[in-house]
Amino acid sequence: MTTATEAGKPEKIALLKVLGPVHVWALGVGIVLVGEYMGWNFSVAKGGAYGALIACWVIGLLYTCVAMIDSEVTSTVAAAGGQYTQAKHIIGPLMAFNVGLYLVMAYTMLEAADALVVGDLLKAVAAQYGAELDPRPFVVLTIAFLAWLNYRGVFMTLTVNFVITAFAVIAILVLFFSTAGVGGGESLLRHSELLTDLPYGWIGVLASLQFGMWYYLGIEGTCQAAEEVRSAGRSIPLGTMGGMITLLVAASLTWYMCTGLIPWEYLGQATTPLYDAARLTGSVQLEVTLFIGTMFAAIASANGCINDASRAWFSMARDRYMPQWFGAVHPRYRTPYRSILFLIPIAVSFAFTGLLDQVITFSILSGLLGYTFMSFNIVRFRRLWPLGSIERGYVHPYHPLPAIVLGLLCSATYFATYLGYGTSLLSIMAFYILASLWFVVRRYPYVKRGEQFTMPWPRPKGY
Amino acid sequence: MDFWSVLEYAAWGISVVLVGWMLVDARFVSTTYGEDFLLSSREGEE
Amino acid sequence: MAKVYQPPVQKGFGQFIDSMVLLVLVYLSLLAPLVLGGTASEAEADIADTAATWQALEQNETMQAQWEKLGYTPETAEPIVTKKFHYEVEPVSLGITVAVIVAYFFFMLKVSDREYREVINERFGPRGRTEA
Repeated sequence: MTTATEAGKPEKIALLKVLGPVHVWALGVGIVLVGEYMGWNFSVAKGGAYGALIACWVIGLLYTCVAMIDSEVTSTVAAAGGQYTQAKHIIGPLMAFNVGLYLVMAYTMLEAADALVVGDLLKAVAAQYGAELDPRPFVVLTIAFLAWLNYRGVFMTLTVNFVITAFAVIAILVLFFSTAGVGGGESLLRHSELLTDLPYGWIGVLASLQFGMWYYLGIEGTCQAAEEVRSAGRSIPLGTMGGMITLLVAASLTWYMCTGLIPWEYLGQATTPLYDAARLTGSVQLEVTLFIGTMFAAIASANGCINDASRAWFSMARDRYMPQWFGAVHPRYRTPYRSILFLIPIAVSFAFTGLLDQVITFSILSGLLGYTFMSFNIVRFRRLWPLGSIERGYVHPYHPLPAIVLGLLCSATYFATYLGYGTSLLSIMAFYILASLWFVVRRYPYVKRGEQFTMPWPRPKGY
Repeated sequence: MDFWSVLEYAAWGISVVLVGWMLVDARFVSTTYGEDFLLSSREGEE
Repeated sequence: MAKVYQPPVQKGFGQFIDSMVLLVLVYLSLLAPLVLGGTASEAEADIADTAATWQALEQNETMQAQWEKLGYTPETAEPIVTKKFHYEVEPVSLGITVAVIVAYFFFMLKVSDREYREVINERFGPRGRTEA
């Protein structure tokens, strides 16, 4: 332990290493699972029910590449900054700054959307009792409570996340077993009557890739825990791959149940599709289970997002990419407490803009930019430090095939975003371009040069 | 005042208390410990 | 060892300003599509009015039953069913989008590479020497 024994002693402080693979799973799946409870179904609106299924699997392939690549790099570069730290070691400072921003933006905006869901659900409950409820205090309370939990320590935060995420996963399984007639009884699903042809043809399938990302968006956040797990090289690949398998199963089941119960036009615009599916079964128990599942999934996601966004912001501040004040660690709870505090009002303001559509697109696109980065990051990683020159915790197979597939799928998803969200796409790109220029001119002079390269590696080949 | 508006005020109240607690604690930490110590975390070090 | 670059120490006020600059940029880009008049609805086109019956909406009996369980009538379901996306690929706007994304990554990799050399040279010494 490296705490200060007396106040002000010039000793060193660090984040606490207490997490195991289960926490990594809870962090990854916790952030993402809300996408099964809401959001993925917008891909049904863009491309029809079959389009959404194709998107589910194609984007599943994209994320399998992400998980493979990320496991290799993260098991070797284990630090709280996750992909940000990878970028600064492998590509360079400006890329690292952008990757750090992708992480902070993607997670903080997702957190805002999650909190809005909690508020809206409570409003819907009140409406059933004939009362008018203002959702705003509950949005603020969700963010404030989870930030407080994060502030007080990572172990408790992710243990809570494990419990509520596990409940949300089980709720999906329960709904599946009670509707599909697997465990005896008649199936309630009516696929043959509810499924239609592709409403927009194949261009709709392509367009639906954009919201197909919801099924998995955020699973790569597992590596933000790298500085706090007991054995990063083992826990992170294990937790990430386990999470990816959970999500592939949950996503397929969700699609299967929802399209077997709900007409696609309704599904395409539903706010809480799984809860609606439970309502259509006519069972009160299922309705309550899925209501709690939706609530827990949203809370788990917001919780994981606070964890990841604050780690990314903290890491950037530690290298002075961002103001160094945020690089502080709490002496008692060992959390990046200033970053956690700073992001509270920002998340609340995103939630209150009333621009949910925009906020979600910003979040998805930031994620997508991050995956694009991963595709060339791994190629460079293998080139600068060939296999055998440094110790890798995990080596992913078939290189460079996953990198190429990832790059192609990312391009397709940019095109999908262009279809229908073209203006948002350009304004978000404008943000990252302006921020990059600002970094080069204004922030980079404050960044220490050699000191930010912290890995015990030899000089990169060719530099 | 009905049940739901009590709930709304309670949510506002708890939020204020939680954020207030964090702000007070952060202030306390800043005044108790030196800034150099708080910022001494380095990447890749145990 | 190469000459170590010593960055200036930033004062509290400057740190505050820098955090705010970034936030302002984020809000501007969130608001920009609203101001420019192109949000998601740009892609949605309504289909001509038809009589609101389940038949006219092309809903079979099963679909109809599910809509009713969800609490909809043909009238309330109509705007949902008839709201369709309208995909149009314009060469000009697509070209601009592709150019912006490619230019962004190109610029970033170029500048990153220049900065990366500074980092590596300071960490490992000038090129040509093999100390680590």
